[in-house]
Amino acid sequence: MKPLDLDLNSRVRLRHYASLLGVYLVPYKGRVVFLVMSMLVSIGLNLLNPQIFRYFIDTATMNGPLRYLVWAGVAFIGIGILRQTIQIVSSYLGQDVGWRVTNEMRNNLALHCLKLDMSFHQQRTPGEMMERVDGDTTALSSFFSQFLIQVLGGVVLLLGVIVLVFIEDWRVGFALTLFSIVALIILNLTRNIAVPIYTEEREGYARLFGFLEERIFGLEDIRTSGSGNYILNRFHGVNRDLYRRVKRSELMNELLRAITGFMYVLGFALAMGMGIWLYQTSVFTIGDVFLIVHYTSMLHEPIFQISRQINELQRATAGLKRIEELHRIKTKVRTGHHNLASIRPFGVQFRQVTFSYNSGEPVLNDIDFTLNPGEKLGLLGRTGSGKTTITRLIFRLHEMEKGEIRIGRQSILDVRVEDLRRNIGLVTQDVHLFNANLRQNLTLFKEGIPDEKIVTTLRDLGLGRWYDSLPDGLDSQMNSRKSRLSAGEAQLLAFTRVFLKDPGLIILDEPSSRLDPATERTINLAVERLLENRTGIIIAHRLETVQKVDRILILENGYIREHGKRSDLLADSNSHFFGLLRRGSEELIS
Amino acid sequence: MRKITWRLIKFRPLLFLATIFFRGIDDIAPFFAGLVLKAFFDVLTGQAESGFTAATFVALFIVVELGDRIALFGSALTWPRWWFSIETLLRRNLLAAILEVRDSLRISGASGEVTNRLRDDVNGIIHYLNQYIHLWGNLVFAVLAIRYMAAIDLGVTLITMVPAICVVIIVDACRKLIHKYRTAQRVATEKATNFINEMFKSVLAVKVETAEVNMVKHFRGLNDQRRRSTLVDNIFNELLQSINANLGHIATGVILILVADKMKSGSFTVGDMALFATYIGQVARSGSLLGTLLAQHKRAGVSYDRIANTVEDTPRQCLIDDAPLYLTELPPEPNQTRPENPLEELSLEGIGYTYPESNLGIFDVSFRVPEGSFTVIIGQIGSGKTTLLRSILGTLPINKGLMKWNGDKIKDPKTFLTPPRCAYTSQIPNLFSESLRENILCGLPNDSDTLSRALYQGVLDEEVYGLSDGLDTIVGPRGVKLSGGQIQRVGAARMFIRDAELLVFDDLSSALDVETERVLWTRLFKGRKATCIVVSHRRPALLRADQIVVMKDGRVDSIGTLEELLKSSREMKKLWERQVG
Repeated sequence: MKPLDLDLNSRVRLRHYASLLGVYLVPYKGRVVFLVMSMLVSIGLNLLNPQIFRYFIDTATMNGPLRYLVWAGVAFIGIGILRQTIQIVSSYLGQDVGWRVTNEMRNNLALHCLKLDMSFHQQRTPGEMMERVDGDTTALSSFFSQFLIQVLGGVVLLLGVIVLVFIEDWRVGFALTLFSIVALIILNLTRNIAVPIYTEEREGYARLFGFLEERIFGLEDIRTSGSGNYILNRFHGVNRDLYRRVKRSELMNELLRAITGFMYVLGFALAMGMGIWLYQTSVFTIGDVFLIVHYTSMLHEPIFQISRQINELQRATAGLKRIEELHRIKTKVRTGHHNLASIRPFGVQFRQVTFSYNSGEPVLNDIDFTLNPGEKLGLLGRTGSGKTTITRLIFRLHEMEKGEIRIGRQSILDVRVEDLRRNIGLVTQDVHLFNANLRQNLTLFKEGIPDEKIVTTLRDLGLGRWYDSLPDGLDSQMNSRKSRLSAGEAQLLAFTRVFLKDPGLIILDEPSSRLDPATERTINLAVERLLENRTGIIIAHRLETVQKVDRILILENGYIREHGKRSDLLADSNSHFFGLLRRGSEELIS
Repeated sequence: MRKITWRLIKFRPLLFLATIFFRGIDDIAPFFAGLVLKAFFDVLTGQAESGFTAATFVALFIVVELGDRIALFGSALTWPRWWFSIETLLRRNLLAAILEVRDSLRISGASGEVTNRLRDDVNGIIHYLNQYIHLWGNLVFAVLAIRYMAAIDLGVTLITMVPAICVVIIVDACRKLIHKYRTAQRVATEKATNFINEMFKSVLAVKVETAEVNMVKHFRGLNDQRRRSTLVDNIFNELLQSINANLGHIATGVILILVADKMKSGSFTVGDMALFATYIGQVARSGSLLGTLLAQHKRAGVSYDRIANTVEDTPRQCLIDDAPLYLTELPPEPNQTRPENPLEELSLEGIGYTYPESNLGIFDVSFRVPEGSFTVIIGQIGSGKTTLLRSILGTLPINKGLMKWNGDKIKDPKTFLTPPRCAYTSQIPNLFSESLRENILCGLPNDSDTLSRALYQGVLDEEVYGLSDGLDTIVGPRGVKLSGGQIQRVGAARMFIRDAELLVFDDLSSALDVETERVLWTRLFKGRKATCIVVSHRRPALLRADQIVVMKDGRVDSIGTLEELLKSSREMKKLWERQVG
């Protein structure tokens, strides 16, 4: 979606809504036109009703023929049925458009957010994202399906009534016009009063559901740390805050409705008063008075309708602002324009790379090393020394501040981000399974990968027995809680993903950490095959993991402590690596 | 659902009665407005003698409407208090039931789906209650209006009631369909919303696989399904709503035909006409409200069942059990007391657990854990180590054998083996997006001495003091701002601070580097009083073990000290040899 020209801190102007409607309703113009037409017909019929009434009353009181009276009744019934039909059809179509449009917004918003930088995702819980992508959009749903029709309909009805009343008597027409103008001005003034209050309410809900989702997900940890009661207390805390917001928002809601209500009462009283006067001065028949009172009572509907829509609009605006806020956040990653040109396996080069999450506290300083095509690098260092960050930089999940990373001869800044990521494989400790079937879990919803290839890969990785035990093969539903996958097996599935991707550079982030020795052996065979003819960076916490690498790089507090060929470091008894090995093996022996 | 509605009404009866009173005034106001209008026309045309002028009735009309507005303000004060209490009750009770569940397999649906129920299904019930409250005022209005109209013309009045009765009959006939479509709508909605949750949970994998577009494509499909099921679910509702709006018109037409003759003769006055015109629409609306309510009743039932069935085997009524809501006051701090009967020996006697619909699990596991001992569990992938730990902790319900604490049977391990008796760290500890301090304390009193001791034992001390916000650093959702090793050590610190008699760790050291791991073991053994059960393949753990339990294919392969097992167990030898650098 193109960003709206919208100042998030100030009043939202009408043209912003118009442009929003424009952007999303264009694909459905046929339906929208139909909806508008049927609305106009419906209003026309509505305006006809009081005329029939007057005709009926005047004919009856002046002793006209019974036949005409019956026809008036029949006309009334016919109009009722026609309106009913129009209303059902247009309401269905209206809702359909509303859903299609908001789904489009949900899809766009989800895609936009997925593409945002990792720093964005590190600050928001999945539950909160759920509320922002779905909850806020749902609040917009009636805006799209109803707003245009209802407000336009309201205005047309209002004008229609005024014109018809003018035809009856210019004085009454004038009075009702004046009244309607005042009413609409007041309504327009209230337009933005409620927005901050509604925004606060929505935020309160997002927080509550974010909180709940996180706790339900982390249930086992809550139970085993015995903090169930504490979590309930925390729930009450979040809920109490929401309660305060809800009360205010509901009161505001009622206030806005009350304003409309009072105005309606005044208008009605005005019409009745003028009716008395004009009847007693014999300008009006009693049928005319009935007509005027009827028309005035009809004013209630459009005024109420417009005000309700403005109210809805204010709720929608709260959602809209929050959605717009997300759309405003841009990824800092600027994609290059070239495909990755390097021939496999890739060479990797870091030149004086510096990076910090919060500027001022560098996580990586002056990282400089070269990895020749096909070489394997073992990355060592204590937790928090920056190992993981190095690998994230290659993927451009974060942007370095200074320096350059090259793959082959290309700076990664020049490569299209998708092409870059498509050519690098990553296995981490954390494997999340989707509530989808096995195939979708392995291909991450990519289509066109043949089943045989997937199954062969599974078997190659030693998951054959597990696969055969599945009831529906690749169509078996995976569910992170109910699937009986152990962490080790889940890890193997992550490997399968990488095998299917067939990248030219592999990054293994503590890959075997959760595997028992025997499984690790199976994995190691697979890893060896995976690394064949590919360049690899292996993050390891244990020395045995790096037995087969060509180079070693040891990080300490974001600086390179030591870097060199493994064989050279092994030969140098002063090297840090040598020391680590000695101490490590001592510890293993002691 | 009827019982449940009744129970919810009784939950905060005063707020309910106050709301129904205020709303009732609003619903009945049109009755008086109709009377005023009739009098206005009759006085104006001289068809009725009255001491008042028509202008008086204009003033009266204003009074009636103002009264209505004031009543609505009253309901704006009581109604949110009522529905929010009920929302809170349902959410609180489901959360409490989830927190107490024995076995997370008994929770149906992923966390995102459950969250969606807590949102949309709870809303569904509130929506129904809103209609319910309206019903009473509307019925009173209908009775008053019908009685009054009947006095003017009985036949015509009876005709006005026909459409409303039709609506009720139609809705009643469609009950099964309403149920079916509502269920489909709820399922589709949960799927779509849960997928959002999953996408963002695994955003790293999505990004490195450049799967963003494919994910959203799948999401699009789910959304489309949701749109279709929602529209079907809504059609019926829409039908009722539009009948609502138009029945009055049609009924009015019928009446025009019927009264034409009387009107000519003057026995049906213009005022009567105004009165009928005002009442007919409202009476028809009351009738279709009853119909809508029947449909909503069915839907609320679907919603309630979805919430109630989230946790299998809990009684259906438990969600509406009375509970304190703490909407304005703070809840009391939970207090922790030292348990009696300190650990002398924990023994497992032939325990077994099989996963539902499979033959995987653990079988006939027996061993004893004396006080102060260090037990290591080892085995290949899929050999049942984690299943064993979870069975001991009661997070999986064992279906064979029993466990004893000092010789007495543990009736409910889930509640018995919890802090301060027993604490646990899983393979991947789950952190919450709060401060480091919150994550470690998890409700324990904030005491700097115990905190720094736990940090020390979890080998987090140096790093924490290095952070600019120290313990107040916000760790991000699921701890994403920390490295894997840090997350595990926060989990460990969370376990240590609970100062439990029995510590259970599932491969605690797997994400730690050699140095950190060494420090952790050294510190653990230095001041250890606690009894430990540990899954590990690491030599420092194996060498210090009082006993090692070797698991194979869900069964105990062998038990003994390292020395014994290296002689007797082939499985142990295989596992041990892999560890030689």
